[in-house]
Amino acid sequence: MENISNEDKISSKELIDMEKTLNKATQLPPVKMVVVNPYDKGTLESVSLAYYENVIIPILVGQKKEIMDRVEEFQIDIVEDWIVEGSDVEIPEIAASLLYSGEAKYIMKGMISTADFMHVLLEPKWKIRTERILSHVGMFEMPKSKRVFLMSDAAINILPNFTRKIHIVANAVDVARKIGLIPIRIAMLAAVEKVKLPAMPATLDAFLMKKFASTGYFGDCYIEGPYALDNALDPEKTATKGLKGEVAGKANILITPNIETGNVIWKIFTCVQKAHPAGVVMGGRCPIVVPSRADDYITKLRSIKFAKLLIG
Amino acid sequence: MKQTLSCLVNNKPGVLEKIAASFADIGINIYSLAAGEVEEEDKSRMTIVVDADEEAVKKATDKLKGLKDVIQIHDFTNEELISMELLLIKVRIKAEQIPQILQIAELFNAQVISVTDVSMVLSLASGEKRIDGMVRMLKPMGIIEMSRSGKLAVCGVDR
Repeated sequence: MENISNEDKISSKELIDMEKTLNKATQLPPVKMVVVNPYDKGTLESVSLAYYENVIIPILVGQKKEIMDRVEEFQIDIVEDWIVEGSDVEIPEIAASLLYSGEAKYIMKGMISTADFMHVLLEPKWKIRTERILSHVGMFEMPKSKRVFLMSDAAINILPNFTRKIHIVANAVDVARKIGLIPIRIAMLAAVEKVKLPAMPATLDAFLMKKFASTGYFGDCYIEGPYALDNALDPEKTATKGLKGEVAGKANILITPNIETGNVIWKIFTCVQKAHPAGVVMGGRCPIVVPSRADDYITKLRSIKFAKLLIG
Repeated sequence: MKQTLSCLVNNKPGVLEKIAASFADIGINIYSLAAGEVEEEDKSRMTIVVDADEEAVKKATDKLKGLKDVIQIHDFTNEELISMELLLIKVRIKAEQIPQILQIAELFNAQVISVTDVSMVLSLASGEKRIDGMVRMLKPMGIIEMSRSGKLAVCGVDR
């Protein structure tokens, strides 16, 4: 991914700057974001910075003593008035009710497992669900070329079937439109460029998704696949292999075949490249910030900004 | 009434013809017939499904027993039967119907074994009713071609 020397094949008009894009969130009026169990340094730091950058007005739901102990320990600028006290059992419910009442516009997970967090949040009474399934959309920037792309799904859908992949693509397309990633070029990832059955079912879904897109379901966008990662992102390698199309080497949305692939790509960026992607769960009534507990404050701050841009 | 017979026969030319003639002589139509090698290479097992009453089947069975190359014949009708057949079905792909076709395949646990721009081939190894069910559900999508193996069976009771 680092050896892309043929970037001129992608029009400069198509390239967006990740930092500039995310910082648009600072130019919009701040909105209330509720945070569940903000006990870790990364969450507290990111929330504090997001407040001072005019992105959010935080509502921190958790045990007040625990939060203030951490604030003191890490020397973070957090205002006590932001805290809504609750017992362990009540915390996710209180947060969900703030979202439901409209008091908060979106929500972020702190030190709580994603399963426990989502279990409460997705109770029908909170009306978070829509006709779409939920999926995680990540925003990445290649360290050298600074090219930005979206990837889904690294966190929610384990082994999505074709129908779920339709929703995953639709959620990612919505995000691309909202952040101005135009034209939308979607690569359905697999390990090879040809359909291999029955050994590689992801290649079948990729092939059929391209065909399904001809119904117009996703609106204006290009979908191609199956593509290996390099064929999706690297124009040079694409040229070597003789692949042609509107997506080959120029993808700005990657759809992974399963959660393992998405998770590995995410962790390669955060652990190996020490990069800072942003991530958000889409498909619900509002964006949901579900960072990994191990993500650092920059990734969390970027995710808060990313989600704000996707409200409404 | 459909009845299932299993014949262990010598794997020789002309045996199938004699067996088919035994049923035809009594006026029984063979609904499906699947034949293949068994654990001994010089023998074959034929799983035959016929649509006939018990008396007619008994007559045919007696006739089969008289054939030199029929080693063993077994009427599964009243026994515990483990059976399955294989379906290969080619359906037309219309973009808007792709999710439905894949949902049907998933519902029946069928495999997509081949795909082109215009068609998809699915395979399903299952019982007769489930195969009938999937064929019925795929029919509105446009079946281009299909092939069923006929029932394969083994006795579920240890003798």
